[in-house]
Amino acid sequence: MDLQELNSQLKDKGVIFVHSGYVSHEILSLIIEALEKKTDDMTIAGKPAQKVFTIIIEMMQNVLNYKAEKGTQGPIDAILVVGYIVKTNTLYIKCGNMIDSVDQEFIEKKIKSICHLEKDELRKKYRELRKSGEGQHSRGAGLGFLEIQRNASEPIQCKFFANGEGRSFYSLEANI
Amino acid sequence: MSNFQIDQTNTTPSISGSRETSSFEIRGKCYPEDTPKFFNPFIFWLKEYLAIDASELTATFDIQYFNSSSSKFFFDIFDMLDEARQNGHKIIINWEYAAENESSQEAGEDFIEDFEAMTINLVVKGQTL
Repeated sequence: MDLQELNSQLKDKGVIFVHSGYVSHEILSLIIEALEKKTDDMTIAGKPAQKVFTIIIEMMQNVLNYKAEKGTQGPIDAILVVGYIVKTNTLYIKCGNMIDSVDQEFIEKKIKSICHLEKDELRKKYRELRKSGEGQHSRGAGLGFLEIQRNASEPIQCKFFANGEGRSFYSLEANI
Repeated sequence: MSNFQIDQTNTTPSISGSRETSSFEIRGKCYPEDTPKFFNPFIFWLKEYLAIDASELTATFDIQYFNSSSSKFFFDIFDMLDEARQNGHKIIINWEYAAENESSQEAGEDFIEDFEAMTINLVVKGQTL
């Protein structure tokens, strides 16, 4: 691997921050801390930093909780990329990890059911779900996807790449 | 009953509750590794507080950002306070946020809509009213 080439590819894509490899709650907090230290006025590429942090937290905790839910051993591996496209004034956050392919349908359905909702509808749905206690205090993305979508300015997107062995690379992307 | 105190960390807020001042304050960022484990001791303390004839309680929330499972716990705390209000306690809630923190402002507005009968003040930090 040519590091210079990789570096210039990342720069071309407007990448501000990337983490690939082992993730944990502690690493998540270090990522947030690092990004927070970079900003004096609580904005990242002109976007409200709280929105960026909230999205990163939900995405990464999804990854961590998924692993805990499955009860699988070993280190958790994921990739997180934060970047900014000047041309469209878009800040993007992408998070990817391996999941069991059977879980694809559930995730896709959840995201499709909320990603095109208007701001007011999202807010209503979020409040309803929080009130109902459905999925209450459980791990897994009940309110999580709604929280991400509320902080995004475009429909969030998921992509899946099956490896043919019952596992899929799952990426979730949000733009602000 | 004793006062409640936990210090702020990188991922959890400080929580201080005092019987003398009839108040509690939750301040900081909130995305614990294990949200129930973090909140349960405080929920327990608050239950005890509200069980005694605490006629007044001022609650202050000053949360820069939080994860969705913490949001659920904040809701539960509001719910407990609302129930106490219905039982005759005088409850005042201050939801503080920095002027530029739109997400926190919206979160406060959500609680106002969810708990219409409660006294919930949105307080912009660094501005005198």
